[in-house]
Amino acid sequence: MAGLKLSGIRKSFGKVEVIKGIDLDIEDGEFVVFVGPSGCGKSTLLRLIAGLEDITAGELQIDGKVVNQVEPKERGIAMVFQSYAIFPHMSVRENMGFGLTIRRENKAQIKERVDEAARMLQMEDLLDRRPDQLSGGQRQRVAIGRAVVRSPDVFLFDEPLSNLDAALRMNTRMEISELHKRLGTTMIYVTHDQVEAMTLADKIVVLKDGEVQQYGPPMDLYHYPANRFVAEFIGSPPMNFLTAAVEQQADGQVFASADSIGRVSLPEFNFVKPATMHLGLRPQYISLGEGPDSHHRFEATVGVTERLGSETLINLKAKDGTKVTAVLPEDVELQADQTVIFNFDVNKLRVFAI
Amino acid sequence: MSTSIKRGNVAGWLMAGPAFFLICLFLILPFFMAIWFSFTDQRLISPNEPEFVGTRNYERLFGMSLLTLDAQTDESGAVKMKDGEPVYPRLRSYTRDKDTYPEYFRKRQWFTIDRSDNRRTFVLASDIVFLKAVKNTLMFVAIVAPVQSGLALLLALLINQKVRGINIFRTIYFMPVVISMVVVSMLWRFIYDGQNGLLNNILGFLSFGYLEPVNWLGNTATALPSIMAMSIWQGVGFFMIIWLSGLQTIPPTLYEASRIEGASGWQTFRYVTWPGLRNTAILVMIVITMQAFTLYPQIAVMTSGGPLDSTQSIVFQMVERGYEKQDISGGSTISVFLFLFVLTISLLQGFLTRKKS
Ligand SMILES: Nc1ncnc2c1ncn2[C@@H]1O[C@H](COP(=O)(O)OP(=O)(O)OP(=O)(O)O)[C@@H](O)[C@H]1O
Ligand SMILES: [Mg+2]
Repeated sequence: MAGLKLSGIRKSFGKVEVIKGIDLDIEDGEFVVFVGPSGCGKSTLLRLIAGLEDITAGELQIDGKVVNQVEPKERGIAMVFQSYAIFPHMSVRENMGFGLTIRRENKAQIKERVDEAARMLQMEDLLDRRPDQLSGGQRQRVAIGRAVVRSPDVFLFDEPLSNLDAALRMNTRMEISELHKRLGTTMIYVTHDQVEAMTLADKIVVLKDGEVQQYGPPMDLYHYPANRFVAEFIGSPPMNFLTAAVEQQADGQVFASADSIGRVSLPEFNFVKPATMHLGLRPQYISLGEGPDSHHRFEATVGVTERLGSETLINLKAKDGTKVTAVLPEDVELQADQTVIFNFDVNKLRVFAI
Repeated sequence: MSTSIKRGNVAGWLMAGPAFFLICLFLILPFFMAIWFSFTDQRLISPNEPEFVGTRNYERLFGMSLLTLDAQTDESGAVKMKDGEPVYPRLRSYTRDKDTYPEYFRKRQWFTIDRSDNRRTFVLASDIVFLKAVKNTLMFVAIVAPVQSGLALLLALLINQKVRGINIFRTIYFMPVVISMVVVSMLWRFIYDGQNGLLNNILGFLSFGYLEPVNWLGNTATALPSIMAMSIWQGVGFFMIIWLSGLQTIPPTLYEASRIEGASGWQTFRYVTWPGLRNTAILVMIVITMQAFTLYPQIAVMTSGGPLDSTQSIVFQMVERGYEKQDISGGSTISVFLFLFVLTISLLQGFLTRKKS
């Protein structure tokens, strides 16, 4: 069991700086997800923590000890790779017990630990198989089992589910979540899939170009994204952005005027300088019709309708042509090219600098 | 549609034709001719029509007999001694007497085994030079194959690293491979020279003149080992590249996983690298064995089989008989033997290394 502390971590490959100064505090037992677009440095950051890459600058502490110069095996970590990285010529049992075997633990104890991990992951029937007799999901389970057998202080996962199909991904995701609940061990999990991040994490770290954009619990990031990047990345379908001129009236009230949806009051803001800004509105907050009086209304033309079963995505075109997506209840029927009135709660609007 | 396939086929055959013809002419035809010649008395140039002789050529190559003789005694019944050795009857009286001893006729002594009771078994063979060639070739294979492949693997492991300038090392180690074996042999003749050879000079210098110069190629004890050493040096780069290609098929994440699990260098080799090299190892072993069996240019350039037949090799004998002595049927017989022998060994290797399911 251990917490982690990253202070000013930097990593360069040659002249290219990939990780540009990261400060993070990860508490003992937390499930933290690194999420971000491809190439943002998630894997690199995880590998720095694992000790597979040298830290260029900054300090990494695990369980209160600086481990910059400590070998991976001494860091108390276990890692699960996207490509499974299970040894092809060993049986599942040998794979899972590998770390103990090379430490020359006694056979009975290895067997006991492997059996226990296999029971926890419900894979006892796989123990005598070889990796080429396993499906992708089972292989990943072996890799997770190998990590469990080590009983590490910190689990590191690098996109462990991205080679699995959708149904299996959901299953395994839940199993990982259960594993965390049962073991209570600190876990760091890398993914580019925001759904995985939202469902698994106690806290999410959104990365972009080697910098932390925001760090916090999933719903904080969802409701109060720190910038437009986070707003766009978290939540599906992505947030709508509308350009608006924001200004303050003589009475102190702040208003935004957008060509797309008209003039909206922003009760939560006490603004000073007039400027052009982006209004962010999640598709889920748009409803059909006039709505309550406190809601803002706007007209839009209906475009393509996409039915997902539990909900329906409608692509709208606002007055000035701005594209807006709305998520409406399942059975809603709207004619294409029809002009309809929609409404939303102004308190749900977010404002971002351009 | 069907016509275009047929036309494509004709064009295809026309294009493959010249190569196919040449392969038949220079590979497949000689192969069957050699088998046929080995059962005749065909000579390279001869006015006489060749005749079918059955297995006579093979009998000549492999003809062997055992002859056990008692030591000679004087009138008193005591064993006659000369220079502290018991005296045995002259072998000539057995090997020149076709009528009394047809089985020993024209055979010569290969080696002897002393019995306890003043008896000695003489191993007689009709073609001692050939048998020596077989023995030398087997020794060559038995030493060169494992040493060369092991050394090549070691080099491959050393240069399979992400270090700046590693390509320079790869090039250097690979260089001898692209030089013809004939040229390499000529160069090494100077290195091994008995008087002013580079090797003698270096050894003398390093031992402050303590080590006497050795005539490496002129000595029955050192000639074959010297040729082995040179052959290993020349071919090691090639197998290094093959090992290297095998090493690079092992996914790097396996190494990372084993590093995280805490494997030492040796454990990583044993549990990750070596199992991952299985197929490469089979390939290297089979190729290296086959190559070692065809030992020839080194011998031809450096020793011509000498001194005292200590560096005779199967292929050298094959060429020597077929062309020097113009005995093409004898040479063919040796080549058929070599073919069957190497084939057997390769099949055996294939069988022993097959994947157990
Ligand atoms: N060994 C390396 N040498 C040079 N550059 C590297 C190396 N490893 C990673 N990079 C670079 O660092 C950047 C971040 O890579 P990283 O693998 O961490 O991205 P990622 O966020 O994990 O992306 P993905 O989602 O595609 O896995 C990339 O631009 C990559 O090209
Ligand atoms: Mg990655």
